[in-house]
Amino acid sequence: MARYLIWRAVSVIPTLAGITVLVFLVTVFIPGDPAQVLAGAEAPPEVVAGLRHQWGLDQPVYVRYAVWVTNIASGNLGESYFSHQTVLRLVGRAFPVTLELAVLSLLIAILIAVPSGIISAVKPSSWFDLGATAAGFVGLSIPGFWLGIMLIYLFGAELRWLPAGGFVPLSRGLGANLRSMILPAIALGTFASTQLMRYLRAGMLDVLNADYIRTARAKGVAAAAVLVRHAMRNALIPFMTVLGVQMGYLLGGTVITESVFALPGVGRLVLNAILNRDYQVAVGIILLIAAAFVLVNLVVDLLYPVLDPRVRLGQSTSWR
Amino acid sequence: MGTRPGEAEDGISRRKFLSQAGLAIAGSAAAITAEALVPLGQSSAASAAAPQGGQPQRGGTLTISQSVDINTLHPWTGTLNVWKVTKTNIYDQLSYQDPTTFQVRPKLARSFVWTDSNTSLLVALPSGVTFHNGEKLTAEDVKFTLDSIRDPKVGSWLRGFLAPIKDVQVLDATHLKIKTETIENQLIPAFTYVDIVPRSMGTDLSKKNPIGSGPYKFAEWVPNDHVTLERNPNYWNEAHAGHVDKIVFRPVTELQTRIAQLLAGDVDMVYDFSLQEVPRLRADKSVVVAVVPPADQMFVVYLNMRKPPFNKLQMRQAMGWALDRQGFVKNFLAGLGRPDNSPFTPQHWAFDPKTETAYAYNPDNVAKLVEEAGYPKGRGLSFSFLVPSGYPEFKQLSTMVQATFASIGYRPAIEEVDIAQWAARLNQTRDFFAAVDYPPRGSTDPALTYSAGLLFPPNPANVCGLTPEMIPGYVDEIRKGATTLDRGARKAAYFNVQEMWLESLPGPIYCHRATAHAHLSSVNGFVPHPAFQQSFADVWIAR
Repeated sequence: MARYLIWRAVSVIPTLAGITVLVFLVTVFIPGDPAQVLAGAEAPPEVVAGLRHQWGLDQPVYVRYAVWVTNIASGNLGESYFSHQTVLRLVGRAFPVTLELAVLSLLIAILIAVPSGIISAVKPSSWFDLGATAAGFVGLSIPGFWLGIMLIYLFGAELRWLPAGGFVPLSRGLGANLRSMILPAIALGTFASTQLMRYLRAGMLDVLNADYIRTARAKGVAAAAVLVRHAMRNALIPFMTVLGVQMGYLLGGTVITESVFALPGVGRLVLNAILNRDYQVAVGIILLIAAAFVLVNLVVDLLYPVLDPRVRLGQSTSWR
Repeated sequence: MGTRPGEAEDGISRRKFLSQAGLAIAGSAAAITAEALVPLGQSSAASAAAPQGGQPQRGGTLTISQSVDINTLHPWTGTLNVWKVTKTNIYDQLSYQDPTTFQVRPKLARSFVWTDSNTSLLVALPSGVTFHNGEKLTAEDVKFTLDSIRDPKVGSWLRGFLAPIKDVQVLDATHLKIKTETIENQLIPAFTYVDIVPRSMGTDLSKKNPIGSGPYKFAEWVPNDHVTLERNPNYWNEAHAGHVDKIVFRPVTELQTRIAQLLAGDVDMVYDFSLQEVPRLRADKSVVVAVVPPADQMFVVYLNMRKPPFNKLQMRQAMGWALDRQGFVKNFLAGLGRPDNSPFTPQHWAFDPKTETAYAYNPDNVAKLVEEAGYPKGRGLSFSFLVPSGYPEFKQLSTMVQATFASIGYRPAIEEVDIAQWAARLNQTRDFFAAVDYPPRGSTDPALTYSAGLLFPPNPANVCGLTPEMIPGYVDEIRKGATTLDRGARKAAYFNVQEMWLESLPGPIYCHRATAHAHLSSVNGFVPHPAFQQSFADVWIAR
């Protein structure tokens, strides 16, 4: 197990190194200039040139990369050209918002996906299955921004049950905080649930048709026990993978949802950074998101042996 | 419903604006300096802001939704309108543009007087003004501010606005002399952009919290979430000391969310939104829509004269005839615009009536001029429009011009890029053919209109590539208008400038656009500013 852990942890390093190169190259090739953005369209060229010099943007690319990577190695992700706040401070403020949104959305997605996916698999081609599948397609097809705006107009502007966008931090009360997060979590969770439900249904159908399930049934194991102890446990393995990927996406910031609901999360932070060509912030966050993605997947991989005895150390060669 | 005196429920009515502005702007150029002697407390903005439904009430929080977040805390380098709106309340400026009459008046300054045979502008300041950090504001601080902005190392985009200044001399704590070579009419309007900073702050202001002397103090900026200002209890000018305790600016990117927030009562005001939403919001009785009539922002198309096809006069003139201005205003600005060929509207004293009919929509003229330029039926023609994403009106205008050219045989492409790339290609690489924009300053003094920005001044920064030699006499006429107080002479000079522009047409001017804001009926005393130098000092919330 220790070897497995070390091997998986070490394999993350070249991945992250490759990511730093790719992320940095994007800032080189993307047209636009933070100095021009800050100085404004009416700024004379010498003003823009002065800002570029001040920020080191007139240095060769390899020098800029070396400085950036050296800073990262010492834990310094840089600071915003505009707000002059450090990337870590900006992310430190934005990440809890995104984390809360991601967790609530995933909870909503799981609450919808797990029962509907299981029932659909247990009763394939039933009215429930057909209805859930159709609802899933509709959910997948509805653009997230449209659903968000509809929710805002209905529950915010018309019924006035919930705030029409904006974020209330936990420091101002759990109730107020949750009220501000319900609509975005529903908008995001509904979309995520459709994917999760389809994966779970497909996984469950595969497992329910497997020989060992038939054997369990033949041995007289109760239907509920077959479903929970034998079928679900195996179907959860691919489902966990999808869940991990979904969580990675959500932690990376859900740009559209955060923009529509005016949430000061990571997605909006990175979007504004890219639009303003605030390279330090953009590459810093993208690197953190990539790292989070890699680590979440690492955790999911490490959970496999717990869920599947076949993957346990010494019993499987699939990861070697 | 809280409305201002004599004002329609939907804001400043066009008829009222025309009568007010026409009377106010019909004076002479000297009026700018004469009017400048009127103390701020007697300005028309103050009277316009007085509430109709009772005495102003103190207290409460004014929450304002804006389309984007600020991107700096530096008063002299930030250029976004949202930052102008915010910092106007933190800092004092020597002068301000009256939002109702559009005249420039003293704000921090008590008076402006040209002396020394019109080679010095004497500025008198009030005593007893303190900055938010408790320091006393003196003429030394004003000199520090002006000198810093003029310093190329500071990198302020306002440097060109103050270019005529040769020296700033402090006479005593409340008087200073601004030395020039002659009268410079651009200076007093330019001072509306200049935020006075305590000299103890230095010039590296982007890393410090703003310290001004305005009616509101900076409290905090949480990027992507809010900017909070708090009332300055020691503001020197009691007439504009601020009523609400706090102002919170919230950046909300999505327009429909902003509107829903207003309708839900979650914010008090939506500042600056798409004109297409005006009819819908006007129909909603729960909100008040305030519209600044078309005067300041003008739709233009920058034509790159450095390369074909717009190095040819006929092609530029063809662009002048290519837009159905009325159709654009009606369909895409909700009727809240005015077709024009001049940077000024008829209410402005410098408006040249001859420009009114200079160019209109005429596809036949377009076809004829394109043929004269050597591209019969568009053969051999190659150009495109560069538009920034997030600015639908730019694309709509470009699409209408595209359709006109398509009707004569050539369909130019429309290339949509993000705003950072758009600005870089216009200003740095010059990699464009035609690009729509709506530059400001159509409502201010023409001396500033023609000396600032990237369209009119024929200097190396000109987007179109305009040089002084390209339009003979153009620079001389601009200087004539900028350096005399004789209104008749100024008018004649600026008429010539407008006509020269239309003959050479480096960038056709198509129309002016209004700006729109909406607020809850509990918000009183709001007078929208044409150039986003928006004061909220007179705004109060009825409980």
